[in-house]
Amino acid sequence: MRQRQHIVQRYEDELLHLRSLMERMGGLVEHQLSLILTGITENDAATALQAARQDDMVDALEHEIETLAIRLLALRGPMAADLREIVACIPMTGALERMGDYASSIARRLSEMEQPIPRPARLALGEMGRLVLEHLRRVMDALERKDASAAHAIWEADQLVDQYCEAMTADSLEQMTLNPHTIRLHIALLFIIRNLERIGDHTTNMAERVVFMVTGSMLPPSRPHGHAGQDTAYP
Amino acid sequence: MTSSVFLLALMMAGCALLALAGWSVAGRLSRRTARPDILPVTTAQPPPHAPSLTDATQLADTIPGMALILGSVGQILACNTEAQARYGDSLSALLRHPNARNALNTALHAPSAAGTGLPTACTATVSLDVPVKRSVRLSMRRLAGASGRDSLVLTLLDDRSTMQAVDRMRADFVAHASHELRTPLASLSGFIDLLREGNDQTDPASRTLYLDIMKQQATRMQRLIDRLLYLSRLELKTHHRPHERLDVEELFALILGEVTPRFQDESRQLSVTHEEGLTLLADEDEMVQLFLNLIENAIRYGTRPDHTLHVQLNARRATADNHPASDAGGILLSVTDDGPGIESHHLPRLTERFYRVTDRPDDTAGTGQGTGLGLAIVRQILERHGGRLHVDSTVGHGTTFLVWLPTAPPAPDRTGDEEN
Repeated sequence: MRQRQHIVQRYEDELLHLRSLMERMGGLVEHQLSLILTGITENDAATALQAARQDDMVDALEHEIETLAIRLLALRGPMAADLREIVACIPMTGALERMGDYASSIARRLSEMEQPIPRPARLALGEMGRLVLEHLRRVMDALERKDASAAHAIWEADQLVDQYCEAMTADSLEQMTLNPHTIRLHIALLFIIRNLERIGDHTTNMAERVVFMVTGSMLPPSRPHGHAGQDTAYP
Repeated sequence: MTSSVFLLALMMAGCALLALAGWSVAGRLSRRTARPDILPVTTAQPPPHAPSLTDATQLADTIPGMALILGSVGQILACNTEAQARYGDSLSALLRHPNARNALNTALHAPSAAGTGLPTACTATVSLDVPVKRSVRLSMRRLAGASGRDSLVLTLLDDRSTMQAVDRMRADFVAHASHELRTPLASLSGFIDLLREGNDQTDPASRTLYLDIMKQQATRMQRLIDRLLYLSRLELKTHHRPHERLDVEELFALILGEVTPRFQDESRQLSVTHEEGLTLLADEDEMVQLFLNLIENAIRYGTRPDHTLHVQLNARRATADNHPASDAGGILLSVTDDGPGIESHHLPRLTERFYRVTDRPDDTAGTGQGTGLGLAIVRQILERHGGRLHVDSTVGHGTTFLVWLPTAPPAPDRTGDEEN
């Protein structure tokens, strides 16, 4: 009897530990994004580069979470909600790791810029980045609170990020046609815009997993995309 | 100021901790007084008694400041009303920040100080960018007695956001003002040069024209500075949700009083409709400003020659059918015009500071141009009120600016803050 209680205790501790690791990893990636935002809006590549330096920690956490999740699955035979939670952690940690990669790649690109980003583009990128970061924060909160409807709302809200991406891409293309000497700059900007948009996509992937984790049902495979752009919500 | 409050809170926490330890000593003594023959003579410190979660929660509730009790993996075990009211749903984001995590780890493994037996305290500063910019100082100390998975960490929070906001406001103001004032200033000095070089030979018609343009530019600079200052003041207040109750009917009456003169003209019409009994928790002046900006925009960008501009102001309860983001509850306020509409690629960026929809063919001189701050102000006001903005626009048919705001809770007087 005492031994059985001990096993249950161990299992619960490990599950708590898994949640805590996910929180930690989410917090790290949020911080990376936040550093990049500062880097963009303040024209401060040194701050942005700190994000790239955290990448090893993010990778290590992914490994630790995966290992723990597999261990829990193999040794503890979890059921129902616990099973869904542990299974969902594996793709979610993967999504966070990709976001971290994109963040580092933006940081490196910022540090390699030959000329500062012009002010209008800086303001716009800052706004887009803030939006992406806000969505990540909301997904992490939804994960912690096991709130499927909050996760669902983010899944839908990502179309605003897509619209931003489209608008800024069009803007950069126009600038390039008008002033060919800015092509280098705008190509770098296009990469940054694209990376931010990818981070947004991974946020929606996480939102899907949160919905699955809580309700046990999958969201439809295609998400509303923001191409028509007739209706726009601001955070 | 805030740091002294913080110190005070820390001292209170210390006292409370000692009190906890004191109870346990008292408990031991009273048990021992039954057998006076083995009462210890030395005053060596007894091993601290492990505090229960109930003790810890009581401790957090007693502290006159924002306090939390965290568990060994960083989970929130207790949160006092001050912390809940101030941070509510930002608490998790604060605590998963790497700086907070590192401080927690240090606190969990901190050795006990030789004199007091209390584990060493750790501090960290955490800055968040979303949903509003915040800077918070966290101080953590493990409660003496418990260890390992039963560890409890008392965490005090001290908000440094206002201080940080003042610094940022100053920097932003200088950057924006110096950049945005340059264009009108260049135009002003251009015309001054023209007038000076002409001496008195400039013909009176041209001189009047130059002076008119100069006047326009000076007015524009004035407006820009006013709006920048207003925006900066709003930013300082971002962290304080308004608590005043405001009836929509009253609000609309105020707005009508302000804008009616603009609709005396044959070419513009304003209609106002609202449901009964709608109440917001909102700052009256800011709400009036918000709708003035939206109506101003409708007039500025919606007016077309040989076309009567219809502007509709409407308020209704949000339901799942009429609200695009399907947030149940709340109030929807909208300003709709039947102007030329806004092309979809402008929509996501409309509320950005200094973003202007530039490809308006009839405004080449830039004289009718806005400051590019009107909608940024709208957004800043909404941010403080926990509201949202939606823009719906069809080219050729018009634009709707939809404002969602939370409904005021039913009770007419409340002392505490919202629970969540």
